[in-house]
Amino acid sequence: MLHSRLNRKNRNEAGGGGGELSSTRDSSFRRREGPPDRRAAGSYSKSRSRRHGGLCSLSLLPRRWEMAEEERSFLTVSGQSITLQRCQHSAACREFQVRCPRLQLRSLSAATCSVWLAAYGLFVLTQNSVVLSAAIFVTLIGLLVYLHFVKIDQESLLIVGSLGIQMTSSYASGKESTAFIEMSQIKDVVINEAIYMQKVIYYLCILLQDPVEPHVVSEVVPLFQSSKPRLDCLVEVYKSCQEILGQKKKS
Amino acid sequence: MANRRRGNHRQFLSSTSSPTVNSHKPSTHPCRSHSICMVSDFFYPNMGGVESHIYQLSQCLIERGHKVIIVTHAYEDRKGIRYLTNGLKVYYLPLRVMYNQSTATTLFHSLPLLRYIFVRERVTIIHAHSSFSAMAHDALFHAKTMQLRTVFTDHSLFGFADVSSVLTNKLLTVSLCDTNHIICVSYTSKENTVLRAALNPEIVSVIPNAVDPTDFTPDASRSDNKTITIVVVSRLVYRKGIDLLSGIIPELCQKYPDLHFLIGGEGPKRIVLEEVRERYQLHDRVRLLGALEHQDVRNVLVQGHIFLNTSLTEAFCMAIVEAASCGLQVVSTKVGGIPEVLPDDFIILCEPSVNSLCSGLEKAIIQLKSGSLPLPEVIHNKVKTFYTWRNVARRTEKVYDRVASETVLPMSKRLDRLISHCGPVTGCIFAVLAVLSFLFLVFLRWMIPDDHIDSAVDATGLNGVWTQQLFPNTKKKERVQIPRDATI
Repeated sequence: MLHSRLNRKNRNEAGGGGGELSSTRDSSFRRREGPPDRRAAGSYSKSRSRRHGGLCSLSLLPRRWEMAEEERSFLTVSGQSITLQRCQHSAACREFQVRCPRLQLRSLSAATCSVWLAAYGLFVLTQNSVVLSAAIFVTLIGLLVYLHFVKIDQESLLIVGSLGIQMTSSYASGKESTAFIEMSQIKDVVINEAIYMQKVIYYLCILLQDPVEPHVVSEVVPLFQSSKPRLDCLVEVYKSCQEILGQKKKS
Repeated sequence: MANRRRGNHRQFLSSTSSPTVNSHKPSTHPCRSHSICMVSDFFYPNMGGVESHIYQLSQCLIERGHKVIIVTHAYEDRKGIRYLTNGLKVYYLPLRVMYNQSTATTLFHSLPLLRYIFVRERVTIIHAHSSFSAMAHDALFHAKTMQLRTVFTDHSLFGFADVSSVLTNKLLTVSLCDTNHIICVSYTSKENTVLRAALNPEIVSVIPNAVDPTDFTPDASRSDNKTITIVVVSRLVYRKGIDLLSGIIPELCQKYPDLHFLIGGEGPKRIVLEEVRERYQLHDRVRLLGALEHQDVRNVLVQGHIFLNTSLTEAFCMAIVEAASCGLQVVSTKVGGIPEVLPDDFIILCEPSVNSLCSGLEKAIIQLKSGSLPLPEVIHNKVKTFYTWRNVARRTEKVYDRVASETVLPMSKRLDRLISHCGPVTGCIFAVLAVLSFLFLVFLRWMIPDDHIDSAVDATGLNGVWTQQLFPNTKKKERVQIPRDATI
């Protein structure tokens, strides 16, 4: 499965992408020949087990030395705590992962209890046992749908200076959806403001270039849509993205 | 570093501003920088006097070093947050429009969003505009609940007699009884507002409107002296006295064969003028131009010699200042705040009747023919010093300084004021509503505490980042890039 994913990525790149990537890997490897940071190495193995796929698992180089990782916790606009994990694969390749808190037993049981209590109340009124079985099905199906389509546990952003930006969101059920934007389409990465649900929030977005007129923004792609981190977290990601985009513009 | 940046900013401003506008240079050190939120239902892309007032005032306040944001409701597809010239930030809130571009008022539904904006922008003064705007009253109500300072500008005159004005006056009483300061555009308007809302006159200031004199310049080359043209630019509605105009046209056209009328504007009374034109066969001498864009007004004005204003009620007539700025002799009715607007040698005032207006116009025509009128350039140079936006901003700033030193009424005193000031029934109803809105605010503060709200990056004011791009040396440039026109 992993391989097919990568192949798709490479086709997206219209050839040559894979080679370019490993060459950047090479250079990073050479540069980081000193002793690896102990803390970084420790957290690295932890994150390794979580990751399922993506561009960074392509290389066959010894992975222990190639990354500098750091983890910081932030808040979302609604006040939940999230962790932002930043790992630097090379000078032009960085990955950001925003992890939301997992589904809590408290909220799960609260939702289940309320549905079942309501169903039991109806059952007392109507004396019809179909209500109870319906409630069980509703809870089960609701939970499945919620885990599979709604609840996003982790959103990651991989930015490779020579290739583009890949956005992955992993659902609580393990489902992953990935989108990739080629570097030639990307005009800029900016922080914008929007009115959202009785709030005014900042969000990070990618501006896409119109292929015909390069000065026109054809589309705005919002990032970290489900976690909605606060401004301090966005600024962190924004600065890194700008560094890489800046390098690309210089070259 | 902030000081140095301010200095640079000022330099930039004074070097680019055109010399004609520069009647009052901004002072080098504002005594205090305020964070002001202008709230009104009426803002661009809607066109009108209130809209341009808010825009121009905000621009001049930004120039004086204050932070200004504008909150209005969404206009069709224009919603979200936009930045205008010099980093003026405008929030177009998705609220439902009820009637005449005014939103519905429930006193509650807009609280969450407005509170979020007031908190994130660290607003200290709420400045609401226009008594027709429900959103402005809502914002005043919420601001008082949130213990923020409030200023209100009234742009219009009201009657006292009919049912609708009795009701609006009652609402205005409620809305203004605990507002810190009120601004009116003329002394007549102040008198009217004080009476309507039963206010203490000491908290009401008079700050007139202004015109941008660079937009309204005379053009000597265009007017030919064989014929005399009378220009009328107004909406063709009852309030503007179009019925008087329809009486004047045939009378004067009979008397002076070389007289022409040029009428700009649109409205329900257009049919009256068309009838007059039809009946007296004046198609070649009375031209109806229809609705005019704001930028075309000047080109219409300079085609004439005399400007006629037949308004029946007017708080402060912008049109006659614009006409005088274009160098026209102004003939106007003597109603509302009009006598305060221009000195006697630029305006001929008449009673609002056909006879009086006709004699006024005849006087102007005789003066014009004898050549005793001052040259358009002379009039323009004088008028442009009367009403400038910088002057308005300077005076408004004084109001802000005064308001900032006042205290906001605590909840208990506010309730007392409402009950004692607005009558037993209305007062009690609104006191209950004030308590409910306070409880709602407590609930909102529990749901989203203030410190969970990101403070917005200032585009204007002391720490404004908008001017950063002019000075590449400053390090703060990296902070956040603000996209100019991208909205969602």
